[in-house]
Amino acid sequence: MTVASKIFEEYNSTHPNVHIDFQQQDFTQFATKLKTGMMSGEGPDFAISYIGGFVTGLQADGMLVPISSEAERLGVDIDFGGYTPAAMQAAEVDGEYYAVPCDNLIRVLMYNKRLLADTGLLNEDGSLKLEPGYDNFMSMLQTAADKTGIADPLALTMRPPQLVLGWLTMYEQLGGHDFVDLETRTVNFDEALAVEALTKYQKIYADYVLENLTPPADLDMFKAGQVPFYIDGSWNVSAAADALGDDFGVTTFPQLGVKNALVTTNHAFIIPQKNDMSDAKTKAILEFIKWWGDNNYKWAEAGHLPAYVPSTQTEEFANMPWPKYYESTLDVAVPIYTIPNANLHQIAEVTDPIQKGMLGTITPEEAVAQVRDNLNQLLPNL
Amino acid sequence: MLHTSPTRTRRSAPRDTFAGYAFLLPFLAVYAVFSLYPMIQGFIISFFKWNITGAKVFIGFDNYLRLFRDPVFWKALTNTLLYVLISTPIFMLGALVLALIVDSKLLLGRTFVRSTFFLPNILAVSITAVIWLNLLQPYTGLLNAGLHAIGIKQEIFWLTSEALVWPSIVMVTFWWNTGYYMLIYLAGLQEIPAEQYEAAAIDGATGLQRIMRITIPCLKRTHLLVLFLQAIASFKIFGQVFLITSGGPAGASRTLLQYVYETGFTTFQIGQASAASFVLLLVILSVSIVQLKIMNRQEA
Repeated sequence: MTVASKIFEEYNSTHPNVHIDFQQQDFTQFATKLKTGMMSGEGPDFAISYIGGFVTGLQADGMLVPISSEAERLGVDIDFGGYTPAAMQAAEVDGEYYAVPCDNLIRVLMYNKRLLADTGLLNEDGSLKLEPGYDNFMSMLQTAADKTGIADPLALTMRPPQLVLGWLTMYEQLGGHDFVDLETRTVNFDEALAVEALTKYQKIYADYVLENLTPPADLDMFKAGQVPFYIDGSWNVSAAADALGDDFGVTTFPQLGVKNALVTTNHAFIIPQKNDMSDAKTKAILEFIKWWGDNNYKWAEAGHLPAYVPSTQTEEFANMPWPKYYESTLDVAVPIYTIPNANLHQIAEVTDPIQKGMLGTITPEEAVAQVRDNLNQLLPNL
Repeated sequence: MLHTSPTRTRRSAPRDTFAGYAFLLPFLAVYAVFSLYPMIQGFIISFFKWNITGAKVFIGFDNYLRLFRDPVFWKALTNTLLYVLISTPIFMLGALVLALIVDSKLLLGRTFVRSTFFLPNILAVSITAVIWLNLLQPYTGLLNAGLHAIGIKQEIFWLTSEALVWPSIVMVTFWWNTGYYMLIYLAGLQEIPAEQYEAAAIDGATGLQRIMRITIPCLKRTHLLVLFLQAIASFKIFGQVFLITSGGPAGASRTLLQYVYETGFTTFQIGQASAASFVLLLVILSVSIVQLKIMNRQEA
């Protein structure tokens, strides 16, 4: 049984007057099914969606219930201020919250203590010695390569969307922030910084990552103890930790630029507009959303960081073996830049040029120029 | 084969005509509701800007014009056309060779071998994708491990090299689908009268000569049927590519159907996705008409 199923089952068993019929959908069909279901009035009473462009697109089409005002009207005390600010920023339109985040999807740096034992890269307690900065990170990888004899010590997928999220994080860490101007529907990112971010990120691949590494080989190699470092989503922490046992270590995604930041994505609850929705049902949904927040640490079992910050201060969360090593990511989380009706890190207009740039098929300058031109052409049509 | 044609056509009685249409009605109703109507709607939508939940805005031929200006569309179309042109003869030849093998009287355990060749065809696309994704991985995949074992030390990037990604997809699809076409060929082989082979053997024809002079010509209609089915299936290639490479590296294996999927369901440009679908329909229709004409000529 999945972690989510267990949480819904627990809620149903502890709230006998409410029954939530939890249905999982295939990812590739989810958005379409949800949209068509909403159009026909046969959609779910509430749903979990990626936060950002998809949510704001539905809101713009008048398809979503304004959760903050409905909670106030129906007297459900959801502590909107307690959620990760980055996620709430992506859920807000004109001062109203249309989504309530259920998690933070982050990337972390995992490492193998046994392989790094004689490299001088570990503290006595087994934690990683890593000072902020690009040069420090590269130096650490070089030391690992020299001391372990593993020429390419880092497992890091060259596939989107992780690739794009890594590049965007690098851009943010170098001081970039603006990316898309939703008013004019054009890009407004700093091209020089975007090129620098891609160049630096590509150099990590070129120097320290096995050529053309993709899932599942990246995780498999780390689990098999063939590489000492692995960067990927925190949802892979459990699998890697189970495989490596006491040799496993994990920490936050490294600070490579002048500031610490991590571009994150989030799942969030949304409530579709439905004609036949009673106040009692809406209230029951809002109460569940509030309960999810209070019990958000349970969802952390699936590897995600809770979105409701007080949940990270519970004893239950503190007792979990791994999240405490990367929960500080919440302080530096930056929501992925929003584009209308879609997710920036998943669209071919961005993923193709960035992957070409990473593979060296085109230069970083050409890749960034293609992203700019593609988005300027696409955005007015969304 | 004996063909007869009536010298005089008898006009059907109106009652017979009515009964004929009445029998067809259930099919026509289902076809109209579930195929024809959505197709017409799809065509209409291709002239609108629409994201499913928002208002439909009529934009004339803009979706088609934008499509033809989109390099991603041309790349996907080119990829698909090349795949059809290159893979179809390979699949046909492979299916024929397999059919000849499993039809051979000399083969022991023919039923077992036939089942083995056909078995991959019953697998779901997701299972096929997972199997091959793991087999073709660099560093950890079984295929590269096998090559390393026989002395090829170089790591081969089956799915992430632009040069190898399509041959890999052809290989996966061959493994997955060829059993089906093998069965069609097998049915065709079993219709060839044994007397022809006996006569050829008496005349001293070798095995290869019998295949070239009897088997292949007698399978003319089967070739056309397989060509027809295979070409249409190849134009619609999507699942295995999407699951194994996601269209990568950097769009090198993006198919036209993936383009339709991404345009329609990732960026929700439903109108443009519909326009791309109709371009694909036109391409398939053109190829099908040519094939049908050839088949009709063969029949005549």
